[in-house]
Amino acid sequence: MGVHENTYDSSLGAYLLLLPTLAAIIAFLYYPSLQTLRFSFFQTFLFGQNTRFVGLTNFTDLLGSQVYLTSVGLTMAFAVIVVIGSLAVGLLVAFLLYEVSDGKAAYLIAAIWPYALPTAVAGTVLLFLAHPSVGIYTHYLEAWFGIELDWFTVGWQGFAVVTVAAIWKQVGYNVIFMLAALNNVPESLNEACRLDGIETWRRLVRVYLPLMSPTLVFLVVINTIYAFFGSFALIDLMTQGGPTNATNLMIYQLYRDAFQFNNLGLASAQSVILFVLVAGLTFVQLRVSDRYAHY
Amino acid sequence: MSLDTNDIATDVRERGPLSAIADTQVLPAQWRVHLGLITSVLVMASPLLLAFVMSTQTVPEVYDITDISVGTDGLANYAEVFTRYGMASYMFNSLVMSIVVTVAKIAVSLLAAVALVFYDFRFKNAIFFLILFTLMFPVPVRIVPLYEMMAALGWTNTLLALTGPYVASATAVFLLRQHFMSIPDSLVESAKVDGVGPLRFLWKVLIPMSRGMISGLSVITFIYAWNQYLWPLIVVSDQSKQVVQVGMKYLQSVGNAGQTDWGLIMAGAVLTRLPPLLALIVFRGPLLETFGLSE
Amino acid sequence: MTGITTTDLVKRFEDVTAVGGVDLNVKDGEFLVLVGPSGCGKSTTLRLLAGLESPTKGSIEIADEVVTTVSPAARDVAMVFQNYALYPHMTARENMTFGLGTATEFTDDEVAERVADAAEILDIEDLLDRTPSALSGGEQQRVAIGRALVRDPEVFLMDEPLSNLDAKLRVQMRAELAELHEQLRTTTLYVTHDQVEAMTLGDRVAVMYDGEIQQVAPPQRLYDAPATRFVAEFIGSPGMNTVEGVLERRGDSVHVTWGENSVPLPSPVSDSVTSHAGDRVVLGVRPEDLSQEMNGPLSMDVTVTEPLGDSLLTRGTVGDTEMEVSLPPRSAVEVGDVLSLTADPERLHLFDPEAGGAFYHSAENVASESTDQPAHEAQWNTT
Repeated sequence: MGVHENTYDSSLGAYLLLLPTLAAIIAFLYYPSLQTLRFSFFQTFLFGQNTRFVGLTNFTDLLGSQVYLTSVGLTMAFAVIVVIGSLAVGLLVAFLLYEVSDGKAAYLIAAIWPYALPTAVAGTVLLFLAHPSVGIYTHYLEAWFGIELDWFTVGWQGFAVVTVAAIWKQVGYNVIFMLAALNNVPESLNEACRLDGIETWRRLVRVYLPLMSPTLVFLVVINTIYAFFGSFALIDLMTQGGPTNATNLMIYQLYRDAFQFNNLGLASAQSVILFVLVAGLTFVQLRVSDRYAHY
Repeated sequence: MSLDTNDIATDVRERGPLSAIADTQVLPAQWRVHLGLITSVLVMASPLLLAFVMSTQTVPEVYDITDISVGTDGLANYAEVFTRYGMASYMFNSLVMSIVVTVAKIAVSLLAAVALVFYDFRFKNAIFFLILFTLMFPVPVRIVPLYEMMAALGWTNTLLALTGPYVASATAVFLLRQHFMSIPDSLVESAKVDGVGPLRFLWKVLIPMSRGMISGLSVITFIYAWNQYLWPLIVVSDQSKQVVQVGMKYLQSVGNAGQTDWGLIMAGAVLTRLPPLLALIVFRGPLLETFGLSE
Repeated sequence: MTGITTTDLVKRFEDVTAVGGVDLNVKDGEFLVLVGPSGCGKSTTLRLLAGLESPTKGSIEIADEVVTTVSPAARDVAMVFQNYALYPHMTARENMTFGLGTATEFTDDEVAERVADAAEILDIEDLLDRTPSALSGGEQQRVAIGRALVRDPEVFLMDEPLSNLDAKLRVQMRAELAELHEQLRTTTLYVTHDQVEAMTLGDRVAVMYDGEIQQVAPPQRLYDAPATRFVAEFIGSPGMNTVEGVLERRGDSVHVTWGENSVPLPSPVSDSVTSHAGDRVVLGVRPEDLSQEMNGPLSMDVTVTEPLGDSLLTRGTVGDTEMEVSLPPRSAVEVGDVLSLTADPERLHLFDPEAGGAFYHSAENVASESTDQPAHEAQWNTT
């Protein structure tokens, strides 16, 4: 692998340089992850004071629990909508930014400044602006379109608002990566399209999307992980899983079982399920992309 | 960049490709592209702009929903949220946490990347894989044992607990490794013939030559650390040690006479948003370079 | 003594042999050029000497010390790279002193003095505070050489240092390098693929091909008496014509014959040559040693003419063999003409058709029998 690797001889030196990283990943990543697996076979009593080995009971309990299965279904739906929504909006904005010729720099700044929006800020701001009684969005939705938003009590509305918040928070990130991918399209291809008179829409679908596919695969994976793990602050600040568990995503259920009910074994089992689900999804996404993406 | 527009595509069919290209010089701009961009920029930015406007309003002004003029409260909400509601200490805690995480993560990853690129040793590929594979273990997957560990160590409510789990980074190691491998062979060999030791090589050659990449990574890491929510929520219970994202949650309960003081909360949200935004603006050069977006 | 000696140096990568048993001796203060086509193993040889590669077999001595397994830094060599290898973020001065930083034997004053000296020699005093991006290619190369100079090493190793420069600058830097070596007399091994560079710079030139040294000799000798068919064809521009024929004895004289064409060797011919009468041989003759002559023994069908200004290079077939002849400029020759040619009898060479070794140079018909030539220059492979 290159000429570089023979620059320094001492193996000991290499291990010393790696020591901080290795120590940190073992202490804070591998050890706790294995512990999670171990904990998932135990049941916790008396607010975490006592434990007992129960084998797979935690898992069978979870898979038999209507609340948990609903949470899994909700999370899946949430992930699918958030991934597709944030990718679609991101692609639209990135493509417009790529196409525009006047004021490109100004648009670029205007479009990417929502990048790095803290999830907690996104949640808090939308909680207020879409508030059922004092929210300005709610007010105009009703005044202009006659839509009455009462998402503190109507389940599907709560789910919708949280989903919109999650998409909004993630779009800036997707725009940046998609624009980078678009900028890598060789200029000669653009010129060929212009000379051939290819329509804008066909150009996007037939030329740019295939060329962007490695970036799209990367973004699908990242956005999936975000939907599963990164949306916690939104739920915690906006709905606390309600109304009537309509936004009770798996990550929120896990948090409640672990830190409100002190049911550490059950929570660990949920961590394991989350891991298996996300790892499995990532694997499938990468396998599928192997077949369709143009690297 | 490309001069062509949505309009050209239609024109092309009528007049042939060459006339369309000639016309781009005098086109009345790409109005559809501009319209699309202005709309999407406004939609993405409006919640934050509204939040800022509301943050300057008094409580009665906030509850007058359709009033979206700049309020009469000026910066009073900001002063109050800073002095009376602990925002100053939340922000300070967040700042310390983010800087420590950024510096430690970059330092530790630089050392690891040097080992992975410039040394040849046993288990090198295995170790690299071990580092990359940590991507599969976000905090929620190991949250219960990680918390138990911090509690056992007596680290809860300390900076150690806030920063430790973030020190090792697959992304930083991966990006720095890629960057080091792109340094020309002859520069590395020249150092070897001159007998330049690894740490001196890192300090005098690699770091100066990777300035753009390191600043880009630093901004990303800083923003990532600043935006953390779930882990601080769990591991810090002492409100005076809490970070600003969780501070948003505490602010929600602020109110006078049963009315939530949304102006105050929006001021908090704007303040929370400010540091990552500043980092984004100040370091947009290296950041865009890291993303491959620089012109 | 600060020479370089390699003994049976071998370097294999996987199953490719890059360097196949090289015995090379660079004398103290000598400028030796290692030349050969790309992929011949010359750069690998240089990297083995620098310690950037470790040999599969064999030994390396620098300044009478065996350094085969010594680290590059401890070999006291300085290397100049093809792409200069300057650190982009350091000024010329910092680039020149960076390598010294680890050698603690110098005080700051000494370092400053060395840089000043090197800068004066290379005429880059005004450029010392610029970064590489503010320097032209030629200036960057001077800084790179300056970096080697300040280290005052036992030997300089140069890896195609001029090939990134444009043609004009290359000629100029070539002259400056020669002058510099005249002044310093530091043992230098210089690798290039450009035979003109090799001929003009080298005290001696080593021609390498397929991982092996073909011949080591002063430039003129390399040209006059190539030890192998490869050297004959590689050195010179254009290279030597080589043509397969049969060695025939006709009474007292000896000829090389192919088709209708026949070139006589000047008499007398030594026994070692005549003993091979009837065998296949390769005749070598340079384009400039062929000339037009009425009723000459060779006839060429002209296929291409290339006016080079000072001569007219004419290509054609003699018998079935492609040959080139260098004619006086403005000769009245056109494509399709049939030329009658003769070869300068003093400048003929014979090579073994199988092994490629030279066994006869007409200019030194007698001398070639003597022992002053290395054995491999006169090997005859009886087949």
